[in-house]
Amino acid sequence: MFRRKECIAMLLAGGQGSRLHVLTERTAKPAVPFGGKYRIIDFSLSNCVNSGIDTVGILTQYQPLELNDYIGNGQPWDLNRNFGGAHILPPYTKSENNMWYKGTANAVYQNLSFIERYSPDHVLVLSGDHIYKMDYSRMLAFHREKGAECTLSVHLVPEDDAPRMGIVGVDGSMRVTDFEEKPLKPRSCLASMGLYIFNRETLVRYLTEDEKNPASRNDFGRDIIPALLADGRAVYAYSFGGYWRDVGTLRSLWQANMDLLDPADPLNRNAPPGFRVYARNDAQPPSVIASCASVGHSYIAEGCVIRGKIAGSVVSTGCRIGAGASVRDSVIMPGSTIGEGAEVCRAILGEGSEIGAGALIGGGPERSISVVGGGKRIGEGQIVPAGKIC
Amino acid sequence: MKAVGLIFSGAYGGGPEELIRDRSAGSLPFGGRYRQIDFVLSNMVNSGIGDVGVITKYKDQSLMEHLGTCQDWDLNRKRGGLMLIPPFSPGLSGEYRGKLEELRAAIPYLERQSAEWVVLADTAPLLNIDLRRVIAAHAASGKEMTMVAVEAEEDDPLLSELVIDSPDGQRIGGLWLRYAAARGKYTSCGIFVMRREGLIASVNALSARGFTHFERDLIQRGFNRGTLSVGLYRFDRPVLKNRTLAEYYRNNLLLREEAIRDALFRPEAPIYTTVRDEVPSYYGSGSSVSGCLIADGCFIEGRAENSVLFRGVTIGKGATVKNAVIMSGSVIGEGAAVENAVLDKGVSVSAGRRIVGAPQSPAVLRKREAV
Repeated sequence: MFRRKECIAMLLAGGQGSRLHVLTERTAKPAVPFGGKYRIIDFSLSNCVNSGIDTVGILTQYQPLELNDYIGNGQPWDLNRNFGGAHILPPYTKSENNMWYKGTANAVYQNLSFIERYSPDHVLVLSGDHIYKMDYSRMLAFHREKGAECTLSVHLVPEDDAPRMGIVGVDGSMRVTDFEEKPLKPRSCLASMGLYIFNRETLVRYLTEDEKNPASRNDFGRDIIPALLADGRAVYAYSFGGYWRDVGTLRSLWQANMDLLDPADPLNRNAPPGFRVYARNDAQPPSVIASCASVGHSYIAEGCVIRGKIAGSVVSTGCRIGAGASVRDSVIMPGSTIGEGAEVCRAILGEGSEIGAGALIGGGPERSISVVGGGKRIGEGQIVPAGKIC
Repeated sequence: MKAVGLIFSGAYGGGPEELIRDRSAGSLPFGGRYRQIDFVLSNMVNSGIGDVGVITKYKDQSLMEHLGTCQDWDLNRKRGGLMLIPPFSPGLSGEYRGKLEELRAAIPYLERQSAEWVVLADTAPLLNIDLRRVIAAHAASGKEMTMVAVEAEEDDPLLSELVIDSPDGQRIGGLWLRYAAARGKYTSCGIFVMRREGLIASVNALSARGFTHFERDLIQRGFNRGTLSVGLYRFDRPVLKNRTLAEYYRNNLLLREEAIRDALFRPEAPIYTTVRDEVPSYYGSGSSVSGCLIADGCFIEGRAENSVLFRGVTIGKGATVKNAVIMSGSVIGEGAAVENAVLDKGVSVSAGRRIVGAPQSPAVLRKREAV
């Protein structure tokens, strides 16, 4: 191959996302709707193109149908390229060692031949389930400047959250001195974002060695990074100061949607200029806000017919909200229907869910989130108490 | 039943003059996120027509920009797809004198096609129609041309390009050009089906004799002299004609009605348009919105009532927008008031200003005008 790429991305999109329960019963986590008209993976894909990375391998495994369909030829993200572009990489049968992706590192290992096609100097490893706007080219510049073999992107977390994250210890030059997954006594508040840049040779070498170790869990955070550190490799931490959320739980998914409504606009406040999020578009007409409707402090995407009262919520493409219905502090995913007089409070309604007239979802004094799975039907007048997942 | 689509440039047949000075009728924005040409293009794509020629003229920059690679209509095809047909000027320059001259420019394109049928269409009126049925009806009728027409429910005070007298909604009794249709008459929807070879022969023969006008010279003359057999395909769902500013204004506001929306935006036959990747619209805490049609990317902090907001419209705090059509990217400053008005793209109304028109004759602000 006479043409080559400077940096390509490997996007890990195979996770089941079991902590999202009913929302990922029939779809992979990266394909879960977010923010009215997006899916979670749109953020990572858009970051790639906005950062000048035009070759992205998307590693899928769990429930890939919807995700594959969504990515298509990559055109919505400008990733339909003659050389490079978006490639879906599912596990495949080989002459020997047929297997599913055993872990994040193994998933990339099984696709080393994809990476080699482009002979990149650097490989960016991403997760498909984070909400953030980041210019990867700045991280790449940092990686080069430091002469690093591997750079981890880190961000500052509150002390209370540190024991749940991969915590990175650094010296004065941001060189990583130690790395610990879910430490009991965190040494710092710099948490790994699960986002790495590797020199290709280093990546190939460590993935190959990791594969030979039967005790390895084949995970970047738990195996590859510690192995690099143990060998004294030049591992650096790149501190990302912008908004970043892992939306792996129902609570965090709800919260990240609510953050969009924050007047301080955290997602965009420190975002690089011109970073637009791209998404595949359904050809839906504009939304109708009927005379009997009332909408305040909310996002409403296209294709909706709103006759009820919406406050503090994110209503996605193609939803119908009946007269007298009330939706507060909730996330309504695409194509949902809420019947007349129903009340929805602090809830996530999955894609295509149907709430019968007069039903009550969530509410009450509790702060917990109620969730209705995609395509589920809640009958007329039925009650789904706060915190219930159905 | 393979067909090729051919869309006229939209230079004739008029439209709201105030809004089509610098754009063709095809690229006139309509209904919050569309351009008029989106309807006819989507009809063709949804009817399985994969080869579409769009005849262009001068002042077509906004149309070309809108169509881009035609990806959004799925017409970026290796085999077929959308073809822009540039002006044909054998030694003469200047604009086309009529649609027949436009067709003459499209002859080489039509000759290269293999389809049996051609669907000729204007960019307006706006409707959502299954052209497969029209072609099937045409093929079964044995006529040389079938035109889609809609019955006038009331006496129409405005002129229509082609008015048809039909006793039964099938046979044609008579044809009038630029005529006001009385109740019970039919008006053309600007969609005609012909056999490809027959069309080429007619256009060549008429052009050679200096004829330029499609409806007058090809259809009416042919019909009156008995050299062209013409049938009528009666269309029964709503059809929107944007002939004047007042009509354009009324039709935009009409889209707020469910019956009209359901007729134009059918889930099985969506209307496609350029994807702009705007964020969903934000409605502020102090906003008040009722009876509106709102596209993506709007930021509403004020009041909007019985209006159509296109993509990326901003309504500042304390501002009021009432009975208005506001095209994309316009900004209504804090405390400003806009009532009974049509604002073209990118208009800015500064804080506290009042723009008030009359219900029957809305105020118009031109593209990128600042007040």
